[in-house]
Amino acid sequence: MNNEQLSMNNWQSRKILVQGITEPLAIHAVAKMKDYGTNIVAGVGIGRGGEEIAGVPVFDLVEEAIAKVETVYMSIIFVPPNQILDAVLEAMAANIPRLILVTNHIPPLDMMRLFRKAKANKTVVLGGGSAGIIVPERVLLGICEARCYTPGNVALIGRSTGLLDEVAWELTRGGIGQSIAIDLGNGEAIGSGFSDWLTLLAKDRKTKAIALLESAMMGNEEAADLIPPHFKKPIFVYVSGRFVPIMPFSQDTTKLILSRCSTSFAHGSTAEAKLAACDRAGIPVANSPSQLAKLLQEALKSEVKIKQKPILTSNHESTKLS
Amino acid sequence: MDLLEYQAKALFREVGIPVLPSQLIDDPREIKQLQVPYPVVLKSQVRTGGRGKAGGIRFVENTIDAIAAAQAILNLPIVGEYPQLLLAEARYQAQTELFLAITFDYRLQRLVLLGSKRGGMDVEALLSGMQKVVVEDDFSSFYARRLAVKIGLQGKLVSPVSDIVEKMYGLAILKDLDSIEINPLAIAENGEIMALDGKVTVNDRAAIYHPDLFDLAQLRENGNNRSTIATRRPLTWQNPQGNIGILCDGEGVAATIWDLLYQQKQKPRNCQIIGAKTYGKFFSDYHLKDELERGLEALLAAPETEFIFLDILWEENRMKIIEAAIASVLDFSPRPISKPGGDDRNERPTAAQSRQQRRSPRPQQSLKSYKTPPKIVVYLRGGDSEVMNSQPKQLPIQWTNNAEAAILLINNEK
Repeated sequence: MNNEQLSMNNWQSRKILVQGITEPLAIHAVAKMKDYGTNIVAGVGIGRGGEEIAGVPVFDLVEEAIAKVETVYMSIIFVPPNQILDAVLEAMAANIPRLILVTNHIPPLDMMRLFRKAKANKTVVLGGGSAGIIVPERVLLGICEARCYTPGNVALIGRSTGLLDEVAWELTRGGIGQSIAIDLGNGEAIGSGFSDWLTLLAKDRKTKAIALLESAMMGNEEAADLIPPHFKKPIFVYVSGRFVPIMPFSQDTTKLILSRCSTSFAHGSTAEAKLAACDRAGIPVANSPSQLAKLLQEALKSEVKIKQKPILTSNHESTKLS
Repeated sequence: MDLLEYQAKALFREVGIPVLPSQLIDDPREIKQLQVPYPVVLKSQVRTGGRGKAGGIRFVENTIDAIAAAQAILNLPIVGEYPQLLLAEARYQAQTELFLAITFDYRLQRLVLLGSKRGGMDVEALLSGMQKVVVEDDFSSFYARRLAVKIGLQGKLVSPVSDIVEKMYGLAILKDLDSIEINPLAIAENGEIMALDGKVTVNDRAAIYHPDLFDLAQLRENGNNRSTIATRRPLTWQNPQGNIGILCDGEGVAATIWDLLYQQKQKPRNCQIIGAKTYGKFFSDYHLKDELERGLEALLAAPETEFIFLDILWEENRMKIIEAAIASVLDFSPRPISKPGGDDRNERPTAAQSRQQRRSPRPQQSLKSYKTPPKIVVYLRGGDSEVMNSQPKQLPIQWTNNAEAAILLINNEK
């Protein structure tokens, strides 16, 4: 997706495929995406070829769909977890360069193969367990709740569908629109990460500020550690679950041993680790979605007055509020 | 999902990892017909680790001692888990004990081989000798040899130990294991190798590929079968001092609500997530009502719960469904709830009453007679305030489309 103006692309001309279109969540989502103007040209549903779902023609194979609609820009995948590896391999065999995996809970060995193949093939993968992308009033790719979003200049990146909607809703109510929102997915492992999308957003002209939404015990990384060097646009972080009592992992000796020598738990990054990373990187942290709205509002105002200032020198006040 | 030792050893036998002759016992009297020659070791079959230190492993020399030991083991819970079986195995004279394991590393997205020359029960010693080899690409034997050499094996031992590692790797791939461990792998004076104990964890999400393993694991398990992805589930967050139950359609949002309550000096107690399978994005009307009802019942099972904070995505027909679900679980009719700000503190269940309620087994319907119905605040994310205000409301529930306003509503109720 290099050199793209993510939030400004001409999404109407881009053809979108939906794999696993016969899944209940897919049927629901396709209708909503079509309503939003997303150009869904075909769906794949094994054994359901020849049917139509929400006005979208269904095929048994990806290659049949491609033969009919020609080049596809992206596939959004809803198949059950045990079929995800096959669906991804089929999409890659058909040269579809971008995939959103809404499917979650992919068996680990399938996941390992999937990401290895995708990397070798230079296929961009968002997810697993991703709600996809929304560019407000332009395109809905996945299952974000459109009514929570409004167009504007703040980009949101998170790993939880509900939290993305929640924060967008708080911003929308506070009069702060969004250029784009991206859900990296809450899967045990994910394809593209914070740094990949920040690199793209650095070039996105509509995006003036960025909010990274983190949750306690989500993922094994800290977003603030993953900001590309010399990043110019202001970045803010919100961490949900700071006060949630987290039960310790299993007391089982085996698991304790394994977790001491490897990352044997899928989601081990604590709120403290995430906040410490923000502190190290000098990234302001919001205590609540509404405080995030205030911080973003100030950042957007100063954006208009002075041109831009690097985030590393931005004031530390907001962190001290905690 | 963890397999028991004897189940793990059955898998070891399948792929040619050497294990001792053994016999499964579920009644101490069976010891009289023991085929394994004395001296024998009796081992409690539980999933939790640390059974050795807890007294779940005993060495016996004759039948009389064995019967007594078997009785003791079968009546000894290990971290709350009672064994249903014990494994009688020949005693083995080891010269060296190794630790070997293979696990999936989520950060690297690779399988890693782990090994320590100081296997056994001393965890710190074991960790101090731990070595790791990351399998970067397709597996080949040299990865296993690399581990054997890294842990300090030499000469004749390299090949048989790396052979075991290779067989473990084969099992991990074949059976979609989260992890497989042999501790200890005994090496006898004559160079013979024997897996004395094993731990195998099957990936729950790969269950569909391996019905055989799940049959194995659920054998004799009294219906304790874990489903892979439950659609409604309780979070492990627990605050025993709390009085607010959160019912929510996503974990990330639930965490935000918990934090907001906490920051306002409120006391969230626990949390139920609905619609986990569809990210809370899609419910049939029936399922939404059903999941709401069961979530409410679970939260209200704690008599300390005075408030319900319900947070789901707005959709136009959902207010009706929420009201129907609440009405079917709680009965507001005998004495309508007081207006916000009203003081009905005296009528709340007291601690003594609460304890009583907890002790007496309550039939499900009795929630209807819950003394004072809990105060209920419903926050609908993305809600259209005009539509929300115009909809007819039957029950004394507070509705809002603003999270912080919802928190304040709870504040005002106090």
